[in-house]
Amino acid sequence: MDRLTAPRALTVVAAGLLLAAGCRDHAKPTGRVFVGHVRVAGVGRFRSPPLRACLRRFGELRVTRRTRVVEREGLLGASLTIADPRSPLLYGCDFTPGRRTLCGGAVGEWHAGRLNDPRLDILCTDRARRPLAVAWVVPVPRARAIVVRERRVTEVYPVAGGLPVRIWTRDGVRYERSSAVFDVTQRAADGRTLAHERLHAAVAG
Amino acid sequence: MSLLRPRVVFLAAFLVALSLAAAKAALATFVSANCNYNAPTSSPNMYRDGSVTVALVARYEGYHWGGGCWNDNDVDEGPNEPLQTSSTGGEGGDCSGLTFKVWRESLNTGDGGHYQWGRLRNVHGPYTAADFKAGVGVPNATYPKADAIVMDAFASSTHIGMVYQRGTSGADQIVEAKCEACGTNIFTRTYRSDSSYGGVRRMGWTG
Repeated sequence: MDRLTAPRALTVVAAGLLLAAGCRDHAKPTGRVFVGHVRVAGVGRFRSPPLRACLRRFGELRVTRRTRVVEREGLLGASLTIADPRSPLLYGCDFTPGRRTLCGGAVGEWHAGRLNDPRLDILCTDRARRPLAVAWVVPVPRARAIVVRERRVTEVYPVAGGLPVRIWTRDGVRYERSSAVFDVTQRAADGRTLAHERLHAAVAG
Repeated sequence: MSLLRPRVVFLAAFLVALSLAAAKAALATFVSANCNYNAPTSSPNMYRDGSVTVALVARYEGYHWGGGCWNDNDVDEGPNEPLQTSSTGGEGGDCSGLTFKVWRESLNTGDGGHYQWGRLRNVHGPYTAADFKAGVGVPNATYPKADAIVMDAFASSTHIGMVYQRGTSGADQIVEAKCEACGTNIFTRTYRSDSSYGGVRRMGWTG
């Protein structure tokens, strides 16, 4: 204590507050690690069945050659994220695993790299009919992967297409409160942690 | 003094941090101070005029992104909240939360029954405006705008409002939770003729 300086004192206090806030060591993976698939595509003449389903869901969405589509397939489900430079809206369609059935969707306001809200969707369920939560997370600069940790599996979502990344959780769903919590880590190309948060999202709008 | 100074600095920093944490905890939101998570009451019947009454109670009670809890004192007790932030716990519903409660829907999207939610029951429901517009969920169905009547709704991908009174000259009186600055109120709108809006009907009205 006699050798304690002001900066060290503040550091001790800050560390104590962080511990009190329940900050976990997010560097340790949980169980197995699953890396999802991602593909960035334009919209050509051929439109896949998931894309057609998504366009039916959002009838006002007009796709052009400048429309970007990010297709993802993961452990809990698949998704399309669609952006057109002429529109301030970002569209998302969520599918059961294997892109079989359109189970949910979202529309967000996407402008200058900012999204108005994670646009939580809790309409999808897994094979056991347990609710799933899907939301967008905006990658921080230099992020190459978004990592979502659950109790038994950690899923890695490669960043692609310059668009928010649509992520899933099963553990973090709070269905009665129409909300969910995602344990999100953003990693650089060399694996460094760029950001970590417990993303709290609520169905809104 | 040279021995005491670090101790004083540490104690001051600790007290500042402690008081900030306490202040934050003490700053109760409208939701934390007033709202509950009680179960709804199932009802065999649901009348349009009954739902109009539910909507009118929400009138003047404010707007809250992702919200669904309000009292009945005609005062917005959560004004000037940060835009599109659900965590601030203010009073009022947003457009889809208001609709869910007025339409007395179930959290179970496969259940078309009628559920009376208390006004202080903090519930938004699983649907966004875009979900309502698409007719997602057993209780909801797309409906021709031209035929929409009181307590039907018009929904876009980002907003939904319910018909309070059908107009005759192209505009309707719409009850809606519009925005933080607008609050929840009745407005004259031309959603019926706006191509970005579709008609939505809550199925199962008794009358």
